[in-house]
Amino acid sequence: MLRSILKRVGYMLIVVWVVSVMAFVLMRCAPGDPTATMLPDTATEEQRAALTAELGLDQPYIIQYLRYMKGLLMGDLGHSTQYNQPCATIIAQRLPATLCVSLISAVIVLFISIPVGVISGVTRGSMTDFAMMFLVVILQSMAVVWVCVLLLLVFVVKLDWLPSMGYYGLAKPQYLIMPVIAMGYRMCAQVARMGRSSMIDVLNEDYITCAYARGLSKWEVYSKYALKNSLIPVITIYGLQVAAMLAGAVIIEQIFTIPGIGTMLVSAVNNRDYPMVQSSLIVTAAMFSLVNLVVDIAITFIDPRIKEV
Amino acid sequence: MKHVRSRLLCMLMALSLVFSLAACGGGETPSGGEKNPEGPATAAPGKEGEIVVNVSDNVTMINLEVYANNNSCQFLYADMVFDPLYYGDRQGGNTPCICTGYELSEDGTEATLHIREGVKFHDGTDLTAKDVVATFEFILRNMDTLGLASAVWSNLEGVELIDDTTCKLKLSSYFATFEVSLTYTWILSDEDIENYGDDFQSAEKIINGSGPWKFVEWQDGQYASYTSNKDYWDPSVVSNIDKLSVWFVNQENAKVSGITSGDLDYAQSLRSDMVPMVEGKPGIEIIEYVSDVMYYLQFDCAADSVFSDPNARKAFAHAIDVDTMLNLVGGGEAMKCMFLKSLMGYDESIEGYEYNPELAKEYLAKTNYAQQQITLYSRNDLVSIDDVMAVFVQNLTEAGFNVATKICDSAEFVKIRQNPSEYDVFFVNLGAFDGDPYNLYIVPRIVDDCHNSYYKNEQLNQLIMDSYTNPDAAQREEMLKQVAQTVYEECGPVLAVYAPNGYCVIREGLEGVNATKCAGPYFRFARVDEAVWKK
Repeated sequence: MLRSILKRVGYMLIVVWVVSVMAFVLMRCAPGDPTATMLPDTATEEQRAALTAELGLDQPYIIQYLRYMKGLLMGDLGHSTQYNQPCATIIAQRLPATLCVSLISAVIVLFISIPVGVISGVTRGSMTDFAMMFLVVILQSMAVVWVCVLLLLVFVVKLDWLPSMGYYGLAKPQYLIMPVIAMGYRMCAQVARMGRSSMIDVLNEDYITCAYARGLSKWEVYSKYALKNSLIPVITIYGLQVAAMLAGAVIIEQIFTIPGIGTMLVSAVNNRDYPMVQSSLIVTAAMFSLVNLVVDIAITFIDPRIKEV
Repeated sequence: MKHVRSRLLCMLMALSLVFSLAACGGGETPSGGEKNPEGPATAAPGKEGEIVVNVSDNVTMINLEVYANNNSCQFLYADMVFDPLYYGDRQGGNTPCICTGYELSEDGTEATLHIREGVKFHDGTDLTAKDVVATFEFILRNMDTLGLASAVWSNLEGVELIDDTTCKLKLSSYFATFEVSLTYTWILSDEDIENYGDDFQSAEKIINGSGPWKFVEWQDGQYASYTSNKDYWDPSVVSNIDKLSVWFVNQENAKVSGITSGDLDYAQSLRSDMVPMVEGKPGIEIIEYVSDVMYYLQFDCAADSVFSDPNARKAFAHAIDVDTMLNLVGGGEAMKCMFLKSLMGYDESIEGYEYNPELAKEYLAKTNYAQQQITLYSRNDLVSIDDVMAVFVQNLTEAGFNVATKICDSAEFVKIRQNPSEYDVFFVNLGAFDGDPYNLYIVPRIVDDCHNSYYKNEQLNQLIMDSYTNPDAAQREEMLKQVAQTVYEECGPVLAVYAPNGYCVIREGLEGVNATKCAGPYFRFARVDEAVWKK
């Protein structure tokens, strides 16, 4: 087990390195550079040249990359050109909000979507199944922007129950309600659908028929045999969705004024803040890989046959 | 084995929970200050009896450097926390602030500044001429990296301390916007510069201004908070607002819900299609104005470009239907003169170019244009730019141009304008700050040709520079009118198109907000009418 985990951590490092190369190359391919937004457009050619040299952007790409990687290996994520602060400081300020909203969404989704999927699967064809799947399809069809606006109109403008903007972590949970709903509703629908179809597949397996033949009750069959096996694809999808949420949700962050990593990344790209973009992508890639590792480990616990993670 | 697995799974779940809870704890505040305990007005109105005002700005603050003010939020911060030498209302009115007055030498190359006595920084130390000198020295040392300061002080050669209340500036020549430059010079503490170095603000070690507001905290991506400086040297400016938070909100729906729910007391630059959503709400006033922001075209006038021929530029001007564009952007005014009405040099006798596709075709026929593709560039953050560009394409195609458009982000757009002959024509906006047509407009864009239009007209350049260095305001205005007339006749290198409408929303009782028509609002003099506010 430990060997497999170490192997997987090795893969993670490769993924992060590939992401760092891609982020570096893609940002250099994009037209414009940090000096374009750091100086006013009335700046002279000499001023631009001086700033370009100061930022080390006049060096060959390979030198720039090696310098960045050297810093990275020594724990230095670089210095943001737009914030004029270390990237690590900015990321450390922004990451908690993204993690908080994403993880609370993820936990709530887990407790809602899996029971919905399972109940829908075991009651296939019933009114309960129809009602649940009808709701799930509606949720999946709604655009995030529209849902955010709807939430604002209903809970802020009409009912005046919730504040419209701001983020204070768990100290003021009322500020988290709308962002958490907006972040999680689609994922909830997706996981529930996956749970239903997975449950239906498992219930059609021979070993389930065999279990019934052994005289086990419905609930014994569902809880001991069906549920565990139906969870494998659900957890895989769930893990991918959680990992994607950790990269930040720009629209949600903008609408509810949440200081997350998504809006910061967009701003960094627009300002061609190379170190900030590279560092944010590396951090999110690492988180993505970590969540996938956790998911893979969780799957081996559910199904011990999957030894190799 | 099964037990081990179960325990590991439990541990994994517990770790996840701890991780989530830790994440929810929130980060350190960037300023190192205390987290805002109040939040928006309605959600939590602050301590008993405290007046808390929440306003919004469209852009996000990115650092606390006074002189790296590349967006409205940074201006707002500098304007509230620091005192400038002269105070500018950004619409042409400049009044003494830290500098009580100045004298210019006969040739205009020396300016003696008189510094106000009795002014204190927020840390209690005195502000003297020594601090003014240190600020100018800071500007001179950092000319290459300070955006606006380097533009407004390009004629500054040196500074000399005379005594505690006097200092002298050495200029390469007199320039018409000297007083405007004083309004962009916020005084830093000599001691702080000495102690912390030139980037002391970015390191957030100290925010020590002398302005009517004290900086409380900056929550990156959320808001910046200020509290009234009750010890300000000018008691008439001291606000009765205890806490003013500027929220960074650029989503129109968020602004509307913030205003209607009471979470926001002021919102700037509301999109015209959102106005009906707040119209008629009790206690909310909508202010509509024609903005002091012009949307203009600039042509590539290099010898090998079709737009080197004035007839091609005139064909372009007659081809575009500005009224249709204005309908798309929510109203405004078509511009006839190259100067906005608020700028010196505005000439109402200029008739402008009417929309006339037939006339456009006639002008185009006089050129050697051979249907080569012309690319019109613009920037993606302009209001309704996709629709406006579609109108350009339709109009220009009708007039006989073969036109393509490209909408880029800011960084790419800057690069396109920097590279020689990269564009054929571009369409962008420009704010008319301070009633000053020189610093950001005609000097860099026409005389210095900072956007590589290759338009050559030595007579025009001379006229601009003569007016720029002429101390007589009446003569200056007359010369600027000649500039406007020449640019109109030449139809280039710039062609002003329109000034769109702007809307801001303000809660009843909030007063003294300077909702400038060209940039974000200023809250330096903000206060509330308590009788109305408490209702």
